[in-house]
Amino acid sequence: MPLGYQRLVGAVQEAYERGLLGKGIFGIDGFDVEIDDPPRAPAPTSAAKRRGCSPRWRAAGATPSSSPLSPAVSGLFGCPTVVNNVVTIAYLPYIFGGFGRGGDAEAGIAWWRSHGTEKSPGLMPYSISGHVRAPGVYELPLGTRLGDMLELAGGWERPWKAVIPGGSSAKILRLPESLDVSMDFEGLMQAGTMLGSAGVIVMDETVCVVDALYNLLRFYAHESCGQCTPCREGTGWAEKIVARIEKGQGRMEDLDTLLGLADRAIGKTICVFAEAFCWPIQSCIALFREEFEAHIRERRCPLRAGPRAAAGERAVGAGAH
Amino acid sequence: MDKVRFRIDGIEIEAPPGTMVLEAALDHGIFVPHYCFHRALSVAGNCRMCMVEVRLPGRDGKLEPARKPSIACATEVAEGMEVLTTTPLVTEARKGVLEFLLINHPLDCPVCDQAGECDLQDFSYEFGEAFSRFREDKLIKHTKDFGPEVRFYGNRCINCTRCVRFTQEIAGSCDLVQVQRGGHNVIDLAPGRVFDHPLSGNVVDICPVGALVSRDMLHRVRVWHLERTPSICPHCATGCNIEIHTQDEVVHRLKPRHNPEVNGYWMCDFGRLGYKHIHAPQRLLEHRWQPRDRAEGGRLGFQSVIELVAEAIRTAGPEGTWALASAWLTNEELWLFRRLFGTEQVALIARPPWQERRFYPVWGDSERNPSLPRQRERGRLLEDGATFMIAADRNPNRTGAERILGEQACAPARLDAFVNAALAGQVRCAVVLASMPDYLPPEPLAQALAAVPETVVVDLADGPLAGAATIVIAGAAWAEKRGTFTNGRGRTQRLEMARPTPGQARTELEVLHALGTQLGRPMGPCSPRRLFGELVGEVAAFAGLSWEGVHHQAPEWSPHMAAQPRRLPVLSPAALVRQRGGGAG
Ligand code: SF4
Ligand code: SF4
Ligand code: FES
Repeated sequence: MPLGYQRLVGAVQEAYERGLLGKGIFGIDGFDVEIDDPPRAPAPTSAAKRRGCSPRWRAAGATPSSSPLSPAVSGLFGCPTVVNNVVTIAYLPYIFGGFGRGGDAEAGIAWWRSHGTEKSPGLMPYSISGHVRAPGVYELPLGTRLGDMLELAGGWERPWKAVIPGGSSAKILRLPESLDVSMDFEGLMQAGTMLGSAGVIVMDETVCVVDALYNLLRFYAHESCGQCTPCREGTGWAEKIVARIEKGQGRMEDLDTLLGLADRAIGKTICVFAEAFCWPIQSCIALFREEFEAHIRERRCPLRAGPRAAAGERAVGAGAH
Repeated sequence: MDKVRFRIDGIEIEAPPGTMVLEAALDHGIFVPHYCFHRALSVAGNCRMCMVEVRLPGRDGKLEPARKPSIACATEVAEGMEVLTTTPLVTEARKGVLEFLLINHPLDCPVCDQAGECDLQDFSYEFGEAFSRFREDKLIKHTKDFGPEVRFYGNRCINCTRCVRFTQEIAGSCDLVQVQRGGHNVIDLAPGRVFDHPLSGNVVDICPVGALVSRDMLHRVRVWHLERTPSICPHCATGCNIEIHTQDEVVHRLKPRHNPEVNGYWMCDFGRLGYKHIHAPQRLLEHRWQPRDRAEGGRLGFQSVIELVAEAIRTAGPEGTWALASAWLTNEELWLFRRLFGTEQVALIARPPWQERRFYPVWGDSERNPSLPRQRERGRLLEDGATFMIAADRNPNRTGAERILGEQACAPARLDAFVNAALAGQVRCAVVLASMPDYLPPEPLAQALAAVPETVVVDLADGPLAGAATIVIAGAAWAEKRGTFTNGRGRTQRLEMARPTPGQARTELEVLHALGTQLGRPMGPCSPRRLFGELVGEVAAFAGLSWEGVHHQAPEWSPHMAAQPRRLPVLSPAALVRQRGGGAG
């Protein structure tokens, strides 16, 4: 059983033991909250989006809801429902509850503000993976310089080529050009991408961007819930095209097709999954067009024969987040 | 309730708050292409075909152009809203959706039963592009028979989930589910189920493409050859509004015709397949005389058979003559029947009842969802929240018969009185106008008819009833008549003639008219319309009705639900070439 799952089940267990879950919690009669074993059935990632959660609870199928109402207005059982990241909820007691500061809320807020930038105060757990010596989760102030972050994670023996700064759907950045970006909401927005889930995926020069994109698209084709036409069909289509390019069977017009299908999917679906699979397509082609064209011209992956063979290993493709 | 005022394509529209833009547009004759939306079902918003541009007034009251299109089926109308359905943003969005829909769609049109009434064909033609950029292998999905009436071709499915929502929200059986995810999404039977629900055939109607097709009509006709005649289903007292689809006078299928007060958009499978008796091999095609002593007899022409019947009635005298009408005769025929035979020595025969069935939606946990009341209203047909009812009475016009002949004449006691009189030898001649399919006379009635010296039977097929007769007249099926039925809830509705009577067969109206004339009664012209006029004047229960008024015209909103197929603009070959040349090719 995966470690994450074991921990989740353990946490639920602990909450029952401490009386935070179950019948009459907090000593309030009739305040019953039960959590079943977390589902092990693989729900599509899109169901984990904000709009996906409430229908999932209604057992109406794990698909995001097209209801014009946001869950904060009408979610679970038609009641206002807070859906937030675990990170956000986990920080709340420290910021507003003065947790660890003797219940002094003011002190909590001041502490939070002492980190990060003016506009993005506070801390963020960055999950750094890929080509660094010590991948892992690093809790750092928002606004940390990307270069510093990567050094903190141990650096790497070969030159870096690219980074995906905010989880797999964030637009890719070129390295070393972008080592100076400030890893916060505004800094990354300025760089044309986003902080997203703060999952930082680092790739060195042995990584084939076409292959990395293929890896991402395989993930998206697998994770689309499949209700909206552009996403259901577009994810699979894009995956097939990029697979073909990587195998050396691409045509120049495939790049236009990829960009065209991205234009036709973005902004036309219930949840933002269309954006999620199209931004990597758009940014990879925009920043590494020559690599795609080389694949098509040479009818093979130039990296498989070149730098990657020299490095004597199979590159760590972009890990799916 | 206050109305919201807004504009669609420059047309000022008022609608109650909560109306969706798509409904408002369709109601006002502005066609917005759509797949997943259906008026009787909840909104899914998944096909993305109905995208329009919505402009809302900003702070300064000016309309802001939209950055991205919105789906009309899930956008509520708002005061001052401006909806545009033909801007470049919209046309490009439609092209995109159609391109996506077609990438994995097989080129099945030549062998697909839906071709000709397929929303994918129509919208691709009208709103799509003539080329595709897709060069990859298509996905393959399963083909299976979901049930006795429904076959599923997974490759053709566009995953609109109308069928799934139908089984949840109308049939209440939850037989169909969507399994897998992403591009592999496919409709399947819920585990352990067979889709043999009495309403199963309706999913074929609501499927916008050829994914769910009728096994009954599989590969039998091309739909553009079919002629459509509005009619009423005769198989129970609900009286579903239907269309009879014929080609060269052969009935190929029945389809429900929308009537919000009778059947909604639906009909049951018994009714849907209830046209087979029209073409049954046992169908009576000629009149015959089969005297009890078997001395002579044989085929007769219509005039001769009428003379024979008139002779029998005259010989028996008013005292010795009884007439039986079936609850399958039209009101007009019953009226003529009453003019001829009165209401004393007459009785009603009818098919025995079955179990009444009502269907309720299954909403499950979503019970408390605030948007639900409106969704519930969509599918609701009856006061108790039922979405559809199959009536216990398996006859279309018992109410009409009771109104015209009187309750007493239609009571079982009257039929018993006939049986007793016949068995006591007091009946010299019995005239039975049946024309009911699958009717088995109860044993005492069969004996009584066999005991009467002259029994005249007008019926559809050879069987026990015709067997007990001395004179058999080939009658007309309901699809071969014009007239009206009055359903179990007292609603009078019109049926039209979809095909002529086969062979020598005659409608009961013709039989009664010829017989009256032969007996020397003043009959006058006997068109159904004229007789209906007489009924309105003379029978209180029909007062105030009009021939035009008893025909419900379905509002035209979807190709499958309308009496007439939606007319598409015809693209000239030049326009097609232009379109093809316009893209990257
Ligand atoms: S479903 Fe429609 S478009 Fe598809 S093959 Fe059948 S007719 Fe053609
Ligand atoms: S089978 Fe037809 S109705 Fe059902 S989801 Fe597919 S296209 Fe829609
Ligand atoms: S009809 Fe609106 S999204 Fe399908």
